[in-house]
Amino acid sequence: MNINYKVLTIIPLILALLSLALVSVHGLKESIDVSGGTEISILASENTDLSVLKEKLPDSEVKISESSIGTFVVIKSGLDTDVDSVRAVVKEFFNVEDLSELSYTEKQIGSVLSGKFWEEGMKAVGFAFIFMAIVVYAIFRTPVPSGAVILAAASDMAIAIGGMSLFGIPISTATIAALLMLVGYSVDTDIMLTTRVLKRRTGTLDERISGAMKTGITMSLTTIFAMAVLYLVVTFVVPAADVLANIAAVLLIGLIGDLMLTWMTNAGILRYYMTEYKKGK
Amino acid sequence: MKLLKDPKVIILLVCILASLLLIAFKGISFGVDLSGGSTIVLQTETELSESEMTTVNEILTSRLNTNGLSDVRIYPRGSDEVVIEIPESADLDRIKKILTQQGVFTAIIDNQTAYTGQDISYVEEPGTTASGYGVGFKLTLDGAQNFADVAYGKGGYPVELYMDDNLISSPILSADLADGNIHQSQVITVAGSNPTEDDIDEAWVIYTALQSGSLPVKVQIEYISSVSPTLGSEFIKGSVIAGLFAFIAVAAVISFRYKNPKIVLPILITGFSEVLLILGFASLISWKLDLASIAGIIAAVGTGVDHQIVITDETIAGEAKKVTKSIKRAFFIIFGAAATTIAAMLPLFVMGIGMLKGFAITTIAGVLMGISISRPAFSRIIQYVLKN
Repeated sequence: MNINYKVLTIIPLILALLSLALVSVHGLKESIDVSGGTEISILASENTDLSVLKEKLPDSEVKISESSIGTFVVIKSGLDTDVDSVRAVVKEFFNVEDLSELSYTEKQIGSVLSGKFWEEGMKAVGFAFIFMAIVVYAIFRTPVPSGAVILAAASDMAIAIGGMSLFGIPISTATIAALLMLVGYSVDTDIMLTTRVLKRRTGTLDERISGAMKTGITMSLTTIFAMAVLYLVVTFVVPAADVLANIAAVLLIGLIGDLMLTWMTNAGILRYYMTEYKKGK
Repeated sequence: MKLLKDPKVIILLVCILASLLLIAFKGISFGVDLSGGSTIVLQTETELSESEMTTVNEILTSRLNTNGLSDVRIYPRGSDEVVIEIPESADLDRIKKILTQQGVFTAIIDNQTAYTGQDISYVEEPGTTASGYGVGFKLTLDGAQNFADVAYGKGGYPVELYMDDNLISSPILSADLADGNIHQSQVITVAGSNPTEDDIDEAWVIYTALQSGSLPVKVQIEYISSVSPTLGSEFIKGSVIAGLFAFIAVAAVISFRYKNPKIVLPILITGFSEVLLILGFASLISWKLDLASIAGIIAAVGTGVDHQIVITDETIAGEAKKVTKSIKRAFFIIFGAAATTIAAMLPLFVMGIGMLKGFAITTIAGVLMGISISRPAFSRIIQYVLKN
């Protein structure tokens, strides 16, 4: 039993390290927030033949997805493509004088702003993490339990970023937001577990952990199911609102990782802290 | 009902009522990515002082107004970015040119400056003039005097008209204008009598620049996001459907876990009341809800439901006598968790990276209202329900 829980503690951490390795080898898909460029999405009526449009835009990436309200066409062009000519082709294809006559969205990001993306994104995530760590330490004021919570949150982020690399979810302002949300969600269950173990006086350690687990898994499952639903509805009803779908996907991966990190790693470290570390002192 | 006399429950009910009234009478406004319109971010070449920023704001506002766009919002972000929100569909091609034109105008004859944009007192809207399609304008007396001096005897020379160092037109100076007398009325022609779409755009850009004056610095467009109103309403519809189904999913998990409607209903109702509180708050501060704000509402309500589960389980666990201690522990967890969520959102709130400020604001507001209003009330309700 003893060896068992220590092995379980390490498994999610290995997964987190593998995720980091995957990201460093495979990299992350870049949205136009990072690479700069233009993205035009149009909601076309269902029986439009879009292959012609694809042929006319050889330098752009044209993605077509069906939804319950029509066909979404997403045209992505890099910074080196002339946007005006792309627009002219689209205008001609749909036979309109101005794109605003269509059901359409357009997003265009220049090189200065996209260049700043990494710097600003890293700053936001980095500071979020540091602030979170300070708050966690202020709550428990003991290094090992606080460290366990912070380690679990860091590994969870690593797993979420690994998942983004694996499933081709692009890094964008929306997914940065999702990673920040994940910090909040993943720490919630860890704080609950640590408080139950350190502050509850009734029951054995095992009873306290399994009681916390019952609460924590309910917490995670509500969010996991909500995000799964959000992902499916956005994908099948309004694919152009992929901001929400990407946020949902990142949270989904992160929360599944959080289940492991909280109940294997964090619980394992706490068990070690309560049974061996404290006695050793 | 003793519960209705509990101050914490009363506070929640009053806040819900206030939110409903705010939503009903003041309404909720949506950001341009949901209601349709465009958001444009301009990057200035150098950092601007506050007064320069004000000048830029005024000039850009007047330029957009000149082109028939009235309800625009322009505000600085940091000292080198200007955000422009246009809540209606507009011709982006022209707007882009109008905004990025610095607007420094000079007319040169034989390497001498005849007049500049500052010598112009009145500009006419583009139209067909005697010499072709273009923009007519009047010089000030001083400007016209200077022009007369420079132009004297230069009939047949080209008048080189520069806008931001680009030669836009170089008509030949007619002998009548080179007679040394004052001629205040002038014309810049861009085309013959049959102008193309591009010619019309160009004439409007020249007109706008002459009308509003020149910007203190060069600017370039760094970000454009444009959404047509029809697609915006699809987004709102999609978000509402997604929210509804997500709510049902949460209800299913909670029902499966507690199997007792007396516990399940308060959790769901309180969760829903938090949505109302956030929307009421958004209405109160006239915050425009965008897609990112909707993500923030989802985040706040998600943590809300999590916290209610903590409260419920602690209440169930704290057998009879130890309920107070148990509730105390529940709130220790909740305050700790809320503090970490807010700590994680704070950098975003301060930096406002990309368009994520709305996300940070709704999340932080939602979490704060949750821990101060709805969760204390929920804790009373669940204690009451479990005792009976």
